[in-house]
Amino acid sequence: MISGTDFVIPVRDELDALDLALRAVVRLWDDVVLEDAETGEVFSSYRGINLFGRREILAFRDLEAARLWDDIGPDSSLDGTLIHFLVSPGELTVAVDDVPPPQIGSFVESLRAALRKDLFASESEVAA
Amino acid sequence: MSEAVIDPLEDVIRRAGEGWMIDWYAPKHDALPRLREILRRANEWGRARFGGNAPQLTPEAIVNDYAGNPRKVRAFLQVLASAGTPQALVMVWRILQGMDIAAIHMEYDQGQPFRLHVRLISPDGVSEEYESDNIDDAVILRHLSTMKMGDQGSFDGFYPLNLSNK
Repeated sequence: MISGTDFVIPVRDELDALDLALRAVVRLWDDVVLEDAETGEVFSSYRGINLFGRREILAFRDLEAARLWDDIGPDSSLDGTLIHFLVSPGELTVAVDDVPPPQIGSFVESLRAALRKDLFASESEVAA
Repeated sequence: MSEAVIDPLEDVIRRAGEGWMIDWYAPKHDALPRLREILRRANEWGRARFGGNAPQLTPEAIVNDYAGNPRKVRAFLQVLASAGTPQALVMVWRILQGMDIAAIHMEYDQGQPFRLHVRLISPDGVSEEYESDNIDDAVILRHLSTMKMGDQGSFDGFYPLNLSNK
């Protein structure tokens, strides 16, 4: 990951979208480590997070990846080990490697498809 | 002139944008007692099933939870009056608490008894089974997200429908 790629997904409720994203990333990576990027709180389970008021969640592939990101920061050796979720009103942004590995690319596409459905889609998406 | 005191549960329902649940009732003043009774039954069912690990589904707990997690409470409120059984409400709350949907089996043949079976699983591997023969419980299925990853599909989470024009 040098600069990363942002996928901005318009949604009706950004926290519901983030909730779905985190439930899904737990299935993508069995040993995922979740961290609130603003507060530094670390969660080993989706279940422990109250999303109310949160804006950025980092999902590391596992504990080792989380440690390495802390130690050396963005580095090509860590490609495919981090997905960054950010919420803003009416949007969920999924930030991944600038050339995401197939597993992560597929994950993002699956998430986008799920968020285009009526439970999540923004009014503009539904009208389009 | 003094301001009218609003019931805390009604206040939460209206702030969640789900005031239709109350306004829809005729007579309207029956709405809150009815909703409280539904909560009481769900709370009792949960206590009988799970004892000390049961979710708190009292009006007071709902009001308190709304302050800390309004989106979760809003989703729950949307099925409070429409789900058919107390166990369905407990199951919905468990999903909102973070349990995963491990299995859903629904049987429907016209003229035959309806059956819905749901198995939930927690991150630490504890599973819970829910059974219903009340077709009104099928309303919960509309609130489950579907997602495909590779060739595998899943039901994930429980989310509010866009019922109100806020």
